[in-house]
Amino acid sequence: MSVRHLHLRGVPISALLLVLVACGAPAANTSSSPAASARSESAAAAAQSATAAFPLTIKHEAGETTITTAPTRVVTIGDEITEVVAALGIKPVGVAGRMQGGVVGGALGKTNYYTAEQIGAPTFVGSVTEPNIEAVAALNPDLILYLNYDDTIYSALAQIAPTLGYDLGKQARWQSVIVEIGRIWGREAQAAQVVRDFQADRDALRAELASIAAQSPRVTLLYLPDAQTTFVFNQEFALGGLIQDLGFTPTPPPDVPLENGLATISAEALATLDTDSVLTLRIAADGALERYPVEDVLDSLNVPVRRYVINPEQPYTGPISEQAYLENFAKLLKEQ
Amino acid sequence: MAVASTTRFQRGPARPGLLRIAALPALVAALLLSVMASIVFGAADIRGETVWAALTAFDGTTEHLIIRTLRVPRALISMVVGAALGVAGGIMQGLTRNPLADPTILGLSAGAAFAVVAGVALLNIASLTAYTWFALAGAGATALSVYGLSAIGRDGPTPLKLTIAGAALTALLSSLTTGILIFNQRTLEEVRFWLAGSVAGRDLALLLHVLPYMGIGMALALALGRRITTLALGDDVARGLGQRTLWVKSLAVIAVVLLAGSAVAVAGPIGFVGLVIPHVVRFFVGSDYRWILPYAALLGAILLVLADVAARLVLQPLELPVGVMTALLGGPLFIYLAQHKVRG
Repeated sequence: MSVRHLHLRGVPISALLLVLVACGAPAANTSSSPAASARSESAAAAAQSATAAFPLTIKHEAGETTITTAPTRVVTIGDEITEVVAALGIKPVGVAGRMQGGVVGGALGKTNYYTAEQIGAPTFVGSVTEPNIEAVAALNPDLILYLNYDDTIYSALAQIAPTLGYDLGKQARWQSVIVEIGRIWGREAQAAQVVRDFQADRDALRAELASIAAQSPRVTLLYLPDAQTTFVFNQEFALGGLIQDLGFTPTPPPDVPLENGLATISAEALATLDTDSVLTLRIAADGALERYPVEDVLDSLNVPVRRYVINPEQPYTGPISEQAYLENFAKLLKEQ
Repeated sequence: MAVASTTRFQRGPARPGLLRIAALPALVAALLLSVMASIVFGAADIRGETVWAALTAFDGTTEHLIIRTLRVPRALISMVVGAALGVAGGIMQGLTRNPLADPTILGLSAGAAFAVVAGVALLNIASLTAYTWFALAGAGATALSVYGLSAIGRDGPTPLKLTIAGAALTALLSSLTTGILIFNQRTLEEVRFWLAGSVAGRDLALLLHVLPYMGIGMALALALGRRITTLALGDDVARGLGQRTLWVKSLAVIAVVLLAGSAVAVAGPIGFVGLVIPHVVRFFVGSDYRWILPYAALLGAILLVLADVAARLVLQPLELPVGVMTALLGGPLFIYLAQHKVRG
């Protein structure tokens, strides 16, 4: 099975979404992450008695991999896949991601998203797009989980240890991946519980928003990484899928060709937007956010425009991040 | 890069002075038409009368905002940046007597990119305004370093030494930039789009920041036209004619730094304009830089404005970066130049 590349203007989606970390409400972030992980860990305690049967063959986006023994040294390449593993109570020995200041072969550096309780103290092995293969090999892993789809990198990783490659950009993909990966450690029940907990929260928020969604169902989700670039999403992409999960219809401008649920558009295309509200994702800078010209155009559309300020280090999907996104999206959509 | 013969690429068909004077207003008119096209055409289908109303009777509607806040700034920025790059490229080709020279030969783009990337990674700069100042400072520091390195030795800054020093510093700074981006993914995500080069999303305040520098650079460049023509004949010839070549070179480099440095600061690295435009101009007006530079300003502006319009229309409602369009337009011409113009 060939690996599908999710690239947007040469930027892996994981990198793109990296920017979409919730920062505008750090209290909300920290309150939802421990809550989600606490629920997960209580489920983990109940499920930990299960064991996996080996050899175990797992199908993934990069093909099929057979695992012969329960892995004890896991390396995760990509914050989104790190999050899936962390939700299962597994602490990776090495991670590659967007953590600021990480030293390859050393500490993670300042990372203000995951706590030590969630991921332990793994070794930093580089970025998602350029993981340091030597640093990965030095950790002597027995399982590697890889988020990106560079065939060359995947081939190099697969020579070190059994490697599973996943595309988590698709709507709700993490929910099936966590169960698939949970099989490796006999934690399918825990994984299923994580998914059920998430879906319960999702359904509760959906019910709260039902009347608003009935009145104003169309929501346009935009990501503005800088003044010159405008991304739009639909439900095929993880974040757009969350809007749909809350009972709304992700609504891009008409005639925009989206690939894998996203596209960069001219700011002028917003003139043809027919929507009920707009949700813009912006990266938090130190200090005030710079106002972009496209935001003047959005304000002229006479629909509510809500800004969601995100932490640059938050992943775009995963059991912990999507909980935060759901809650913050719901809070914004409730605003009159 | 090889330093080519001074004669082959310098010579173009001679044109009577009257024709060169008469063509200038025609080019100005063409530029105005291009700017109007940039304001009228775009991803949003806006009627001509609405465009006019947006400029004369602004009412805050979406279409008027698109004209005022999106199209007018990018049209003006394209015009000014294109003019600056065209003139800077002309000066570099005269200064180095190299038909393949452009402003980046002084390391301007590499220096600007390094300064911005370092600023984001180390100082967490985040606004376009901050990028602009860092880019200008980086471009200036790099160009001065290149000039300083090339000035070492008895001969002073010869074209060959300028080219080699520029290539060396460009390679060094590009490597450092890449190194920072590899180890700092967040910085990569924040600057990747700036590094692609674009005239979109900039407001006029950004242009106003650098306009004084561009103005000084343009005035200096136009004043140096005759001296660069003499210098293009060779250092020995120029000195024999009484020219103080070191002064002329120094002032020319300052003009290039002010023009191209400001252009990169506002729009990021945009290639091919500085390389291609002087050759097109030279074909029509000959080898006199008193004509080459003003024509390069006008044609450079027209090229970048039209490239930006094309970038918006080719895949609408998606957009290509303007640097891609200038490469698509300039690339084939560059290949032609490399094959036919550089001869012994």
